[in-house]
Amino acid sequence: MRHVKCVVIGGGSAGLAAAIQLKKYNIDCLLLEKEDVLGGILNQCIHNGFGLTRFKEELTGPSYAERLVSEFHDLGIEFELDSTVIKLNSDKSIEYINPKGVHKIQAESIVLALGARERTRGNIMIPGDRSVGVWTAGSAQKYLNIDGYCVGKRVFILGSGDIGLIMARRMTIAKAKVVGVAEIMPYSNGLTRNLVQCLYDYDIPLYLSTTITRINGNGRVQSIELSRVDENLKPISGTEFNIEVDTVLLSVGLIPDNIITENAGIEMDPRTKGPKINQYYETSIPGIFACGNGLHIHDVVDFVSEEGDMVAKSVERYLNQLGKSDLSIPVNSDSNFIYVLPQTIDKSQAVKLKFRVKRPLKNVKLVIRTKDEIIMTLPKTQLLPAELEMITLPLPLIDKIQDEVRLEIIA
Amino acid sequence: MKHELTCIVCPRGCLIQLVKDEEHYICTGNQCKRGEVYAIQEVTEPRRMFTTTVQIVGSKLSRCPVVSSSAIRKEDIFKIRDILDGLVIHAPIQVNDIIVENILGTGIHIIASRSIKKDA
Amino acid sequence: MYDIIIIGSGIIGSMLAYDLSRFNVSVCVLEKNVEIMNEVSSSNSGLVHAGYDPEDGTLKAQLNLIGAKRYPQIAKDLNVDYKQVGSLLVSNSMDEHEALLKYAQRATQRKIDVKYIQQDEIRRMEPNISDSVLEALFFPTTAIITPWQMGFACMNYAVLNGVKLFRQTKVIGIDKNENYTVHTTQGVFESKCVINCTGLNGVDVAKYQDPNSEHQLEFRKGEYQVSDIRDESYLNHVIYPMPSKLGKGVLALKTIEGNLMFGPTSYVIDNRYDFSTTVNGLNEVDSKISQIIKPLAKNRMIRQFAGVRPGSITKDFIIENKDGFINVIGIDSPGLASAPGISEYVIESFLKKDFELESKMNLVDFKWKKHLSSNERNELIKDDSRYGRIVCVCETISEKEIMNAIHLPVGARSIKGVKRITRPGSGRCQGGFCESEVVRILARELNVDMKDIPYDNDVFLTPLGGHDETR
Repeated sequence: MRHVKCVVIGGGSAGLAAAIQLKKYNIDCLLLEKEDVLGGILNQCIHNGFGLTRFKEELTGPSYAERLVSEFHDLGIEFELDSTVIKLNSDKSIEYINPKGVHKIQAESIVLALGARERTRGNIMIPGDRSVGVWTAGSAQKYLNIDGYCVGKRVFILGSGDIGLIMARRMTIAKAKVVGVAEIMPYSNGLTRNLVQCLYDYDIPLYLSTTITRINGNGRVQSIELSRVDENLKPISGTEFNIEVDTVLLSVGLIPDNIITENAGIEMDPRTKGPKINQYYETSIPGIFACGNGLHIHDVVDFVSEEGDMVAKSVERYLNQLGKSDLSIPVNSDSNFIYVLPQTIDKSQAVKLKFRVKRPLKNVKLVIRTKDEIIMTLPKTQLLPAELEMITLPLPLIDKIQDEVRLEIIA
Repeated sequence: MKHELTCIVCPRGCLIQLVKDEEHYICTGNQCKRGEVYAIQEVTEPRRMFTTTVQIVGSKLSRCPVVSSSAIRKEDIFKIRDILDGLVIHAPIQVNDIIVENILGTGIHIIASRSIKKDA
Repeated sequence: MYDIIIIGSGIIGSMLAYDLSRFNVSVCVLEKNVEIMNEVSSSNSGLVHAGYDPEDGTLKAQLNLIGAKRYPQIAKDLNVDYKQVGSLLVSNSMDEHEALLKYAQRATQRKIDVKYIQQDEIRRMEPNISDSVLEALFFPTTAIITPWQMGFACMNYAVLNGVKLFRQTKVIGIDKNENYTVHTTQGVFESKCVINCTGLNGVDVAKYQDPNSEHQLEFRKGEYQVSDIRDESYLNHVIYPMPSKLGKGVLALKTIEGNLMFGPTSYVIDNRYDFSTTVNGLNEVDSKISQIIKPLAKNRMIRQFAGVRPGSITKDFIIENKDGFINVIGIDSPGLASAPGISEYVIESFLKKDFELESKMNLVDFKWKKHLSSNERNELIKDDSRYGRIVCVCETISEKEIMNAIHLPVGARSIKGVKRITRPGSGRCQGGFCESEVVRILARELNVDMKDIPYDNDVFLTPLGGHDETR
């Protein structure tokens, strides 16, 4: 069996960055990509706004990908396309299929850069007819931007996440009529700038606290029934109204895509839907690391790539056995948070905590405490679920940590 | 005149207040200089970056993503869309190749945002 | 001119085509949809029931037993999946004790293997059984199949062996002179005998032959939920609640592919083409299933669907021969389980009297291509690298397997057809990643534009289907 120092699974914005950084540490790696090109989902995200942090300029998705891909090729890193990993084993052997055969290789370390999949109609159980014309926003994006087919004429979008907003504008430019966007929450889940330039610019109405309660149409979608929802997000009877559309796009959330991770028996976090990690992005199996949207959902691609960079550093540390402390301090949070990453830390170095809050919060204090002692207090004018927040805990503060780190929000 | 607007320059989305007293604009709420530039532009002549795809032949890919070299006037969006709709380009294409020069006489180019190889 | 025209290619039509293709008669099958196995036969539990449930003296009782007996051999001959997983008929209250004993007795009379089991053994067999389950009957012979795989395999065999299949051919009228003249949207077909196995439209087609036909159908909708869980140990058997007058009840099973499936509900509906899911129906599935097994995390659900069952108001199958026009009507549950029995019954009771059926020589074998193991795939890649280009990651399906589905004797013509034959789009992402690639392969193999590839009858990628001039 072939033996590889490090296998990177996934050639998108996380995996490419990890592989590039690994090469800079002089670590030989093999990158496996399931598609026939590198770059991942960025290739279909033709809008611009990527790269401000990493490349200090605004790029489109494909051009951001191309920057990474050319650096990757310049470094002569080994990769295989059309290669689908079917099995990840806890002994760090990997089985994958490509047009040359079914292969099994042994890795010394593994970087999971698996990306995300979209929630579907079945996941959120929208009742109604078995209509054709219901797609996830990303599928419609692929049909339009890669294949050149606009799948709808009169389109309604459920979910105001960024992909939904971007597709509202994109479908409009492709001559479809986007008749509205509904969001079950009382606020939008997308970045404000996307609300402005994707909806307001084109007078596309946004229905807040509203959801689709029925899809109608034998054959093609003919109409949808929308309902207002109460504070528990349950549809309010009597508030139903119908809109005629031929297409429904769903932008109702991304889920880290972790079939092989789960099957390998790696511990998962039900909140992120990704694997649990320590501060080195290492999963419950030592030597297997995770980053990018396969770990947790990001809203800015630059930070996806940054996670790739950081994972590479951890791989280097792991392969060179640079002192790993056995300390495992849990990172917890109060009910204001959807999640905090990493799930555990040790006290060897500064830690970047990443978190998302459950609902928009204004003028609050973010408190980081250990046992009874508050070690950090940060005033926050605004915290939004749509925005991944990051704070670094520097070493002097790390020293104060006892057997727990806890994030809390106080008024 | 007083304007309230959300900055779209970066993902932060600052809420900007822009007040004009005769000649000068006073801009508050922005966390960087680019916010002020954006806000003044937005109330005088709003502009947007424009992206779409154009048909490409000679490659296994059928669409080439393109982007405006800088922000175009909002009112030109659909005109530019219509020009690009009828266009067919030929592989190979390098990223940043000019696809349409000086579109609508604006001085702005439409450029490729992906390199596309020629396939047999 | 054919000897026999079969109208409808659900499981009954497909099974008849399969059986008849081995005799020296000329047979054609008329199907109104773009794909076969498209309506009643595609949306059900996929079960070969053991046969204890139908009332004594009914065709259902008789033919379910024959069907259950025939399936293992058919599955072996066609290489389709057939798994005798066994079932538990569970009771949640002592009130149901009498009924349980009645089913045990009936099973014994019908020579169906049955074993009465108590709490400890139930829990050993099914760790996730609901705490409220008190006692159960174990039927080891209950089996699961994938309905459309069975139907597609039967029809492919039939077509390879001389049966003619006409799709998108809807019957609009029938005349009888010396022979039957069947008028369709694609022209006129003639035969000595017609078999009406048109599921939802059974009575309407029967009336083409006999306007005074008094048969009546009642349409029942059943809603289901499907999970993506692949935990082999979550459920081992089919779990039935105690039947009621509404039917077998909301049951739990693990499909051949390993998904958990819960359902169906049972409601009479007016519109026979109402395949919609409803809030009430899905909630009912939830609450009823929780009485028999421990609940599964909500976020494991990947799909909901509804099936419609055309039942006769007589509560039994109607199988009759009226002057060479054979009606097979009211085939609701256990229709799938009974299909081989129904086909045999039609042939033995009617066709053998009207035709001198002789077995054909030189039959061509047809073997269904099952999901590939890694070793099998590795071997195949040596000859064709496209077996190694995975299109559907969730279900591990390659470009070549999709091409094979299109190029079968009865090949897929739609996205739905590809999905039924090889499963891309059936997994976690529900086609989110692979659908456009499936469309691209269909378009290339059938030499049409992507926008003209149907999802289903007359429903295409873009709203205007083949007539959309803008890209």
